[in-house]
Amino acid sequence: MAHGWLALAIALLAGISRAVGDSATLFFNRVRPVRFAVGLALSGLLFVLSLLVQALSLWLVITLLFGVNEQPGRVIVIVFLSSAPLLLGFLNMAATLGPYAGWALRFLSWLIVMAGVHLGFGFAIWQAFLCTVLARLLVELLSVAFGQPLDRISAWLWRAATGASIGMSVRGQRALRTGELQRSTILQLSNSLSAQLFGDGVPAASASAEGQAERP
Amino acid sequence: MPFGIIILVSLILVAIAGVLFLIACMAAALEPLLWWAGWSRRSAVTLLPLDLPADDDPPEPDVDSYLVYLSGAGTMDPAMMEEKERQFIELLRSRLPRSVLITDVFPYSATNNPQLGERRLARLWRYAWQARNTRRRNFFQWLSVHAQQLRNSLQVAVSGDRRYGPILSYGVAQVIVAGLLRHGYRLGSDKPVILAALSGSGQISVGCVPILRRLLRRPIWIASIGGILTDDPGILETEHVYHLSGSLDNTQHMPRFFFPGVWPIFTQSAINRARRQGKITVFDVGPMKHMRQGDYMSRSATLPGGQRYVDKTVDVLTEIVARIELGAPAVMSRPEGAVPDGWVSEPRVGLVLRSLREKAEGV
Repeated sequence: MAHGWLALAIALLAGISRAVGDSATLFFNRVRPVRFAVGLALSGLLFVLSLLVQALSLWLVITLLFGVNEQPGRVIVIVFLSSAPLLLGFLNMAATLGPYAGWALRFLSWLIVMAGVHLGFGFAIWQAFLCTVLARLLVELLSVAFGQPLDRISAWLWRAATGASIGMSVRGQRALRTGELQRSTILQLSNSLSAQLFGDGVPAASASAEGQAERP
Repeated sequence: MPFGIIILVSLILVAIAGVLFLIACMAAALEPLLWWAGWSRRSAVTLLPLDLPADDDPPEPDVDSYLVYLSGAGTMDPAMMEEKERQFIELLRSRLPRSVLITDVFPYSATNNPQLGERRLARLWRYAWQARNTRRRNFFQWLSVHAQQLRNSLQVAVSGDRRYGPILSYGVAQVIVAGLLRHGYRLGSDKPVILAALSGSGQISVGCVPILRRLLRRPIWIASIGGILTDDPGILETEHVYHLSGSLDNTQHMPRFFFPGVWPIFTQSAINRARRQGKITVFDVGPMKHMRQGDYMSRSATLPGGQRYVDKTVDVLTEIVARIELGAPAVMSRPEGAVPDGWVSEPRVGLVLRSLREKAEGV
């Protein structure tokens, strides 16, 4: 029981750290400091939920494919503990090198899940590898099936918690991580400012209004 | 001590150094982000003066071009250049009497706040400034000088990062436009605007180009002096990039380590597309280094013909500016030899230019 709480604490902190790593999203939305902190906490909770889904998928694969009769609790603890490297997830924020650090940490996290399945259930390495890959596929399938309503709920939650408007959908978050949304927003803002300078257009729009750029 | 323990301790130290470096990279990203988010003291995102010159104000100066000089990562304050750089600027100014040379832009800050300006670490940077002017430095002075350069270099990394680059560029581009307006530029002017970018400001200038193009509604040229050019998409919006490359300058090739987009295998990256479109011309200016003795501004080092390095750099820059002013085609006649497509070595430039000038003057 004790290590269950410990694992939960690690997962929560890893989620918050990861959110710091991705905080360009919140900064770009010009959220206030208090809202920023709320956004980080919300991100931590959503991360724990996503780990829970991953753990249940892994448990399903282990149970159905390999016939292991085990309560999901143990798998959940393994998956939560595997997020330990992501305690350094804040490093993702580092300019230029951050995304590489992020990939390395996620890879390490995946290795821990594999090691957990290998040692925890006595599986061979290839079996553990197969389990993690299939579990990942299952999560992807679930996201295809239920992605849209979940995305809407998550975007609504983000907006309510942080007041942010740009890049709150999954697609928007992706565009913010790759910088596409920042670029299009800034270019739009430059056009508005230019119109104001040349005196041939509407006054320069505020950056928050530039969220229109996200719309497909 | 057993060998294994030494290895372990070394690995731990390397890991700690790596994490500390990444934290420094994080801190670098925070400066433009805090400005953008309105959390810093300089919270206004629009930096441009919107009360532009009225029609009865003095007309635009009678010049042929505007050259905005953006210094390298070693700069701390454009108002306090080192002697070598100041002499380079003076030489350039004397060779380009019909160009307005703008030197008061600090490209490593979104708000044009120089390192010696109002900053939390102002005391450290002042200490570094004094240390730079000291011949025999102690350890802390040496450290502060390198920290100063690292701080600016990390802003180059911020500029090259797609997540933060547009924000930094938005600030710097506005500062450049404000500088142009201060020096008499009128919006809508047909005089070419050229960014002369040294070292790290190569990337920063490329990042600014798309914004400058929109703000000024004019094409923008870049003259990069050993500049750092990454795979920033802004390069595709640049009218042309003239890159002065010293054969002993390895720093200009640093992006190969951090920006895979510059590798030739990524054929669709912005810089590789720009190369294919003939938007980049590289001048081999001789055995120049990136910094210190023998660099692009060196007055003591000379080429085999006896020409000082600084004179060579100024010569090539003058030629580039003249080409742009004359509206000459960007890619020049290709000399004999193995020169990659769209890339041209330097010696023929003078000849081509002379003929263009003669043509323009009706000789």
